[in-house]
Amino acid sequence: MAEVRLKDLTKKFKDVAAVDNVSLNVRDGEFLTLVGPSGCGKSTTLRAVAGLENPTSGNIFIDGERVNDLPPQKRHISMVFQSYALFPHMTVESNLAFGLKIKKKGPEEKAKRVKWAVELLGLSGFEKRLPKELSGGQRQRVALGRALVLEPKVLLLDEPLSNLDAKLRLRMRTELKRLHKKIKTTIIYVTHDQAEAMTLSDRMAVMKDGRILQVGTPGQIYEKPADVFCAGFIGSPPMNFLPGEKVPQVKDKNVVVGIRPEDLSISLSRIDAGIWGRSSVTETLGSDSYLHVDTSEGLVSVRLKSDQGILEDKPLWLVSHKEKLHLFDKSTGRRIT
Amino acid sequence: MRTLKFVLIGVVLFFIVFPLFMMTKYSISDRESIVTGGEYPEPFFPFQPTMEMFGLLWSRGDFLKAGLTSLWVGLLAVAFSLLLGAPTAYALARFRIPGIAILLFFLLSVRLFPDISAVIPVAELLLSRPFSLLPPVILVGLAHTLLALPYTVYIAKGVFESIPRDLEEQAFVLGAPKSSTFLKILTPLALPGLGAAAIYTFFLSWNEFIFAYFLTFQGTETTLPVYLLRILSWSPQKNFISAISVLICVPVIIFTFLVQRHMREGLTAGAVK
Amino acid sequence: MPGSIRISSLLLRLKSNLFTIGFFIPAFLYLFSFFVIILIFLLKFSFSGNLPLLSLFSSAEFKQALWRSLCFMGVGTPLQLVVGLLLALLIQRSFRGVGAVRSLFMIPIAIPALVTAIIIDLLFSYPFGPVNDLLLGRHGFFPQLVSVPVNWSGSEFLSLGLAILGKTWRDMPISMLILLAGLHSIEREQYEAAKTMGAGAWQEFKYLTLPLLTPAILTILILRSIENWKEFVFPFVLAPSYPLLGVLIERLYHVEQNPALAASVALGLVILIALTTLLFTAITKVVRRYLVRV
Repeated sequence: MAEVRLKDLTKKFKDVAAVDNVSLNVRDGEFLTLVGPSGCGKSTTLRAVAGLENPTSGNIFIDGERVNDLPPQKRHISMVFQSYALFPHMTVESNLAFGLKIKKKGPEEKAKRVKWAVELLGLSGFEKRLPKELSGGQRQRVALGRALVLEPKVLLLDEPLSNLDAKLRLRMRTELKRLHKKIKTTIIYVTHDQAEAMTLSDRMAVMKDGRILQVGTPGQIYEKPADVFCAGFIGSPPMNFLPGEKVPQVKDKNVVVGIRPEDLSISLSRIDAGIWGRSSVTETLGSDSYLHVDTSEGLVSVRLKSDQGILEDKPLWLVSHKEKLHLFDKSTGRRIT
Repeated sequence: MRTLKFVLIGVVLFFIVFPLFMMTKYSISDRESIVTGGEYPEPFFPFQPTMEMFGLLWSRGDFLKAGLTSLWVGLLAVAFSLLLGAPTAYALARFRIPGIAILLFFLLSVRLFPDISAVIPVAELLLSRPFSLLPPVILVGLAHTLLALPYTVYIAKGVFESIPRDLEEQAFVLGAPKSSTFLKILTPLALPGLGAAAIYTFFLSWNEFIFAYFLTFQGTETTLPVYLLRILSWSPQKNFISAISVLICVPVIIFTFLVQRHMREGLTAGAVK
Repeated sequence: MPGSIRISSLLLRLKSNLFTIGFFIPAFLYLFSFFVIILIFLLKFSFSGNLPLLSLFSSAEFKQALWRSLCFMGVGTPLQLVVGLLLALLIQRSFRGVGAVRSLFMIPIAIPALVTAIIIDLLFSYPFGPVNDLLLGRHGFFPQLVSVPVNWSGSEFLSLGLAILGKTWRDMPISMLILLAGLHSIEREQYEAAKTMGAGAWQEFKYLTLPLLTPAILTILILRSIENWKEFVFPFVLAPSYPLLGVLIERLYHVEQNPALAASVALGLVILIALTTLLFTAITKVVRRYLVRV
């Protein structure tokens, strides 16, 4: 177990900075997620920690030791790749044992560690199969097991769930969380899926254009997004944004107002503090329903309370508690506290 | 490790380019540079470079005639294999029947014979009546079609498979007959890919030796490689034989760079799954 | 009757696809009739009159040619594999200019085999040629290795060696491309995974590259052995005094005007190729079974 510290990490490809001056502390035993849209530099950051990319500048510390010049195998890390990168010609067992074989562990220890991984991940009975004879979820677990048998100080996961179908992904999410509780290894996890990040992480770092915009627990980021991007990226359906002057409670044209769909309520009669609109369509996502309202500033989505009937094509007013409004500076996009 | 790699690449490139350089060098060599009598080593660059041999070849009717023969044979092979191969490729790409693998096998089966084995029956057949009445250009063109057709079918099949079926179905729904769909919609779309197959065929024919040699063994009308061999039997000077070689190679090298991607497909056809 | 229903529905499908089937026929007829003609001719000749095919077994000329062809195949095939593998490994990973290098590596296949053979003949000419100049130490930069010029075409060993050299030089892009395709089918992430688990360059090659490349390697062994068995042009130009099977066919046909015997050797060559292919296919199966369970 270990802590990982990135200090002013920059990685340029030609002249483009994929990772731009990133500093980050990952605590011992923590599950930290790097989340952001594709191309934001999250994978490059992870690969730099793994030693698969050489940083252009900046330092990486694992357990206080500067590892910039160490090859991957000397960093006490393990990595799970998006494609799993299982060796197609080796059985589950051989895949699991590969790292131990390279590290020249004795046969007894090899067998013991492989058995441990097989049991931990519920792969009993599949030891002799080839990767192509496994289901997606099983392959995923073999990839995890292959990383875990090496007892890494830090486990690096690069979008490990993105190749699974939706249902399996939810299940593996839970399994992954349980696994982390059990083994308590420091995990750095990369994903573009904000819901995945929210449910899995102890803390998450939101990245965009090679920079970290905000680090915090999922709750902190959800409740107090640091800027317009974090506010819009985290949460589904996303936060509504309105210009300040159109919101009666604010009346400030230098401000962008963000309101989450669940913080809005609907009134069919005129409210002075409300925003006028006309209801358009209702979208039902199982337990929740969202109403899309046409306002002068475009569509605004509102979470419906369960007792509200079908409201389509009706004029209405939207209102929110003043303390639930998120105010952002219009020019910088930063949060105004 | 990296340095070693680039050194090795350099060595390989040297072994590839050196023979070609020597061929070019010989073709522009003066007499002193090739007839040394053992008194001094052959220079790596001619003492007095000269284009004399190329001029000589230009003035010789038999060289130009062989060049024209090669050209005509190549064009015939291209025409035959496209006319025969493109429709077949289309049928293979579109028509799903059980046994298609067997049909494909029969299409390619003729290439199971080594050229040097197949050439005996083909020569026996084409050099006897009624085929022997045809001009040699056509005979060799027919033989080269035999060699190129399986590749043409293979490449063209890939071309047609890359054209979405929706296009034809759309035309079909709009009421166009199949023949005009093929001619007016598919053929234009397939043309660039078929062009690559055509170039591949042309240079297969241009480079081909065995069939051309057996089929024109007695006549005066031959393709360039066979002409080269006949010249060789007179024990000519190195510069003369090299000049012919250079002239045969130049078009092929240029076109190899142009159609490399398709050539790679042709060469590895069916070899990799 | 379900049978008649099946037949009538098949007829319906055939009818609706008549156009497509019509397309298929010309090329099919052309190729297939040649296949039949070649086969019939070879068989007819080989078993005509006094059974020339069987008389081959008592012919010293044939046995010698067979032995030479076997050597040509046995030396050429692994050599071409190793050279192809070297070339493929050199340009496997992308670097600046890899496209240009690959294009240059493709040049040999573009040169007509006959021209390649003639260039080699010129380079190794006797008594005075560039290679002999070099070996005799007539250039200052190269040490003297022999005292009299080497007569390459006068020695069975050397002239067949040159033929193998020429064949290898000209065909190296083919093996390279097949191996390259095999190499590129190995995902980069697999190498990276191996690296994070501590594998060095040699271990990557031993545990990943080589086993995953085995299908491509076996493909090449089969294709190359066929190519080498049937080789004609290089030995024809470079080793005319020491005919192997291909050259023997030409000589019997043109010089001795004995098409029946030539066809018999040609058929023998077909049989040899078929046997070799069967052998390699069997080996492929065994090796695959062995490799699948590491």
